[in-house]
Amino acid sequence: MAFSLVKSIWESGVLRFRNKATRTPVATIGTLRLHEYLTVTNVDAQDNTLTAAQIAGGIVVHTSEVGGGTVTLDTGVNIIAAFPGLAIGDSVKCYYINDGTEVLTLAVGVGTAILDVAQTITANEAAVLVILMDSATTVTVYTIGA
Amino acid sequence: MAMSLVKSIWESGVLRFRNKGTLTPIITLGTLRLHEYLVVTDVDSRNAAPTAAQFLGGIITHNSQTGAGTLTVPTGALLDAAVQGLAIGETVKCYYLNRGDQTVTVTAAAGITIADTGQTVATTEAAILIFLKTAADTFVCYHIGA
Repeated sequence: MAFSLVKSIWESGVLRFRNKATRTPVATIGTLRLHEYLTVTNVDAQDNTLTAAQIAGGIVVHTSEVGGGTVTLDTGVNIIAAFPGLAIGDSVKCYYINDGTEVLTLAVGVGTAILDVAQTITANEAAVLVILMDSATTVTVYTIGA
Repeated sequence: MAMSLVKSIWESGVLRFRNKGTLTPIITLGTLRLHEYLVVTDVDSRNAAPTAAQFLGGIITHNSQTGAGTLTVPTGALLDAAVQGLAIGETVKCYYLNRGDQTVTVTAAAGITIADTGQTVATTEAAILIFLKTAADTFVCYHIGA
């Protein structure tokens, strides 16, 4: 029998999808646009480990400092585990904003690949990280826009 | 009587929308975020002219080489035919990553105009291409982020 981890509910006239256990919103079909629920993580450091939880939140604002920094991806297993029901070929997005003064470079974790390792996120730039599930334990990150 | 070309189904506790004919996933309402199903097309050549289906796969990676290249979009008629049910005013998008060593210019085709023809995608840059349907077989391509 099918079970559900998300629920839909009409709220204020729009159709909102929520996590059934935590009731945290996921997305809403609004009257004009799709509304995506995001949680911001602030990082003030030279480097950052981009955890699965940060990716799940959807926005990271990194105030890079001191010198060129590294953003190291969590493991593929951890990232996939953070998104129940994620299937091969599915992707999730994370917006990564560098509001600091240094250049940031993405670095792989176990079970992750980066399509273009030469691409950086310079000061006052931002990127959309599209994280695509390749297998049960691996993902590839496509960096868009920096 | 209303007809449907897509179906929704509960799978692993999340709500997945699939193409009713092919059963290919489209989008999933996960417990934390939306999951978007993407198919990657890789091109290894100076110029690229992916098909409408490849653009609709959602990710094109381009190993640009030899000299400055072009990314030619499909015709508006081909794109319109490939997206069933797309209404005027609606959009579809594609992630484009230039992983090669040459600058690429996005080039129009019959029925598709490029909003900013001066914008290029330099080496190790990437962009989001948003195709807005303005009439039958007619689109404007907005080029974001490179």
